[in-house]
Amino acid sequence: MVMESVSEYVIVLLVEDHPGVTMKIAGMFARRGHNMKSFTGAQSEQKGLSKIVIKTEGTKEQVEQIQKQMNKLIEVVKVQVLQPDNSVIRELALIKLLIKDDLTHQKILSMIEIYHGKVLDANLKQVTLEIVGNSEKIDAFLDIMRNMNVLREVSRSGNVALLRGTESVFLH
Amino acid sequence: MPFYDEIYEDPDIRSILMRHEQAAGHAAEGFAVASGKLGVVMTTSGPGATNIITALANAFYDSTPLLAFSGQVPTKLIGNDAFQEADLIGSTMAITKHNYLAKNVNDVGRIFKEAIHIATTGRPGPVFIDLPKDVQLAECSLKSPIPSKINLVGYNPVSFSNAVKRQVKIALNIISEAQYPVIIAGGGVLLANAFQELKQFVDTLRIPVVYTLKGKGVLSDDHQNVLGLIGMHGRKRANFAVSEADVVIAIGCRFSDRITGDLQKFPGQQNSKIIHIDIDAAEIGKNVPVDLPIVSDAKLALEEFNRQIQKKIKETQEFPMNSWWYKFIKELKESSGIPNVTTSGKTGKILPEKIMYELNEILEPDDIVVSEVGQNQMYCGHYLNIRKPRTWITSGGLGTMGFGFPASIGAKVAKPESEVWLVAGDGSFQMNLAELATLKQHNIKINIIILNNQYLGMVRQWQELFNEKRYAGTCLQCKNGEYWPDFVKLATAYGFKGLRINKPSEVSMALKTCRSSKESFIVEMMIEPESNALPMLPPGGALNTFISRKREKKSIYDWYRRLPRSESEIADYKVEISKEDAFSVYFEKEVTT
Ligand SMILES: Cc1ncc(C[n+]2csc(CCOP(=O)(O)OP(=O)(O)O)c2C)c(N)n1
Ligand SMILES: [Mg+2]
Repeated sequence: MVMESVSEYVIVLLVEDHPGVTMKIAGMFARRGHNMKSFTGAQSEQKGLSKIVIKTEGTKEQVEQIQKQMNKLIEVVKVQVLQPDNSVIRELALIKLLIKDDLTHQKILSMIEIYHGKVLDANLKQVTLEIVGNSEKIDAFLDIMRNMNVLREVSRSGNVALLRGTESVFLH
Repeated sequence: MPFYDEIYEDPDIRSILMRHEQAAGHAAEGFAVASGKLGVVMTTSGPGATNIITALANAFYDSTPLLAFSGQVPTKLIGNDAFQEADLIGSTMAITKHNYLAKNVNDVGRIFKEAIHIATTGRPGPVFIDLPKDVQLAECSLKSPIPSKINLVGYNPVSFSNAVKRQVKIALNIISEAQYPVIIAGGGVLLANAFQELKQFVDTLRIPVVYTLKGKGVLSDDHQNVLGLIGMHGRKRANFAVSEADVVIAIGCRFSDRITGDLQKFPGQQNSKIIHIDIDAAEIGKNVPVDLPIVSDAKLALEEFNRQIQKKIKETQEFPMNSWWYKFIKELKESSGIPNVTTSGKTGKILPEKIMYELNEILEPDDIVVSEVGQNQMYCGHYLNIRKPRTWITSGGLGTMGFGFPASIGAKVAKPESEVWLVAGDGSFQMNLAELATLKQHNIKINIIILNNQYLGMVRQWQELFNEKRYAGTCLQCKNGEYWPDFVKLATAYGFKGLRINKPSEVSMALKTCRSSKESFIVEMMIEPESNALPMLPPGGALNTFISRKREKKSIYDWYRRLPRSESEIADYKVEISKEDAFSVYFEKEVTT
């Protein structure tokens, strides 16, 4: 048998705004042993409907199976699977860095600039910033900070995504 | 309580009080399967509701339309761990098709309407509704409490589409090129009520039919193309046909591990093709790779098949059946009937095969057979002649011991004119035996046949075959060899009669006594304790690897050898069937429903 290739997919769900919906979705992932790398949810552009974005990893067949299982949940109105080449996928990270000395401070600030970060709060002891981008970019920045031993805390939003172009995934 | 109070004197609602909520759930399932309608079960909050969890799960894995609702503590107390509060929404999430917590009385009408719609359409299943006490008591302020329309944006079950027409056309091409096509009929055929359509399809193409445990009865076991149960405890001839198939047409079945055996050796892997018709897209391609998926209601898909076949026959004046294969299968079926085993087992007790033989003698086509779980279930699934749809009821996906007895009660309520037989293991029967009181109270007649092997037999069988007879936790005897309960005395305790038999020669008489009894009747049949449900596939084995008795080994290899494989062998086997013959079957309108 050929080894099937595993890649990342982003599953976008339009769901009814009921209590317990996220539990049903998360429960389905857990029960069927699917991998959930990030999960976000908030109001959509349509009244009464929320949009949930889940990043997952698997083979094409596995992702198809997830899509079908999601479709079976009564409160899930629409399911779409996105891939990096047909969509924009972004994440936001809030990061708190500790300043130990002037040298690291300078380095931190220049890295923030390179990564197009934006400082939200700062004093002599710490810098709190945001970075927006794809997850790999955020990972890379965090790695550098970790290596510099200045990373205090991070809070990541998980992925949000839209199809490229004028096309929309959902109801009109 | 408020709900019960409301229906207390309602002439349209018949409520049957059971002794245990789990049993009430299974009874509602039995009712649903026997009648083809929705089963309904109601319980009190907390422990009453947690008691129906097993029934919900059972209905979920068998796709049985079931509406369950329970009381709940008043909305203000929810989340406070109030007396008899339990989180049923959380607990039932993974084992229901959908669930609701009704928080406002004005939503109740809508919720019930939606729940019934969801439970009975698409791939059916259980829906659970949590009804807090204050909501039950509140006055509805709407003019029309039940909305006229259902508005579920996220729920549009497909039953048919234009794509189906195209796929059916492709399927017919694939089938017309097949030499060894086989149909696997699953529970989906039953759920779709596609019996006539399946029969017409089979009678036209004369393709052999095997079925899953849930598909038993969708086409009569007497039908010449029906080879019987497949899978772990299937008929050898059925497993043989599937392992040799070059095209498998699976209708409403989900290729569970119990029917496929070793997936690597199951058709669909090498030179054979699988056409899979199912209403649930998520079942297609889940367990086996499928060459042609058809997402459709089984009835509508089969109608489309029949329509296209008919059209082709009209155009070409040719009959599209594969006559040599039909002849082969017919001979195979005729040569492999069920023998009447008159001998006793090694300790002198009755062999279960004898009971199956005699049951087949006494069963009328309208009789309903309900099994428990274990060897008793596999004997029934394997041997019994079921001739009409909805006359065979068993717990499939979940395999719930204790399902059978209450389910038989529900079946009898649905079909009071039919004799209902419960074939139970001594272990399973004890799981819900309190319902004997329900039989008495509501004057419900069930023919209860207990196959008493004094063991949790199916597990013991595995221990015998795979654990060197280490019968850990499966013997139901006391240390001194005594066995309790005395099922005949148990019958008397509940005001019925009962009979215990030990000899093969008594089986027929006992069944007749049971049938002719006016009230429920228990026959306790002492069967050979270490009898096994054979043949069986070893766990993980392929469909053509059987564990079987010595005397049964030969026959299937004969058929394996006889199966024509090369083109010339096939040509030699070919038979001429006159057009009249072929068409007479085709236009036969007799229906089994
Ligand atoms: C509720 C439940 N518990 C345990 C099992 C596991 N199990 C499957 S078959 C079986 C033995 C059944 O014994 P019995 O009812 O006497 O039937 P037999 O196999 O002896 O005919 C058991 C314990 C089950 N299927 N369901
Ligand atoms: Mg037993």
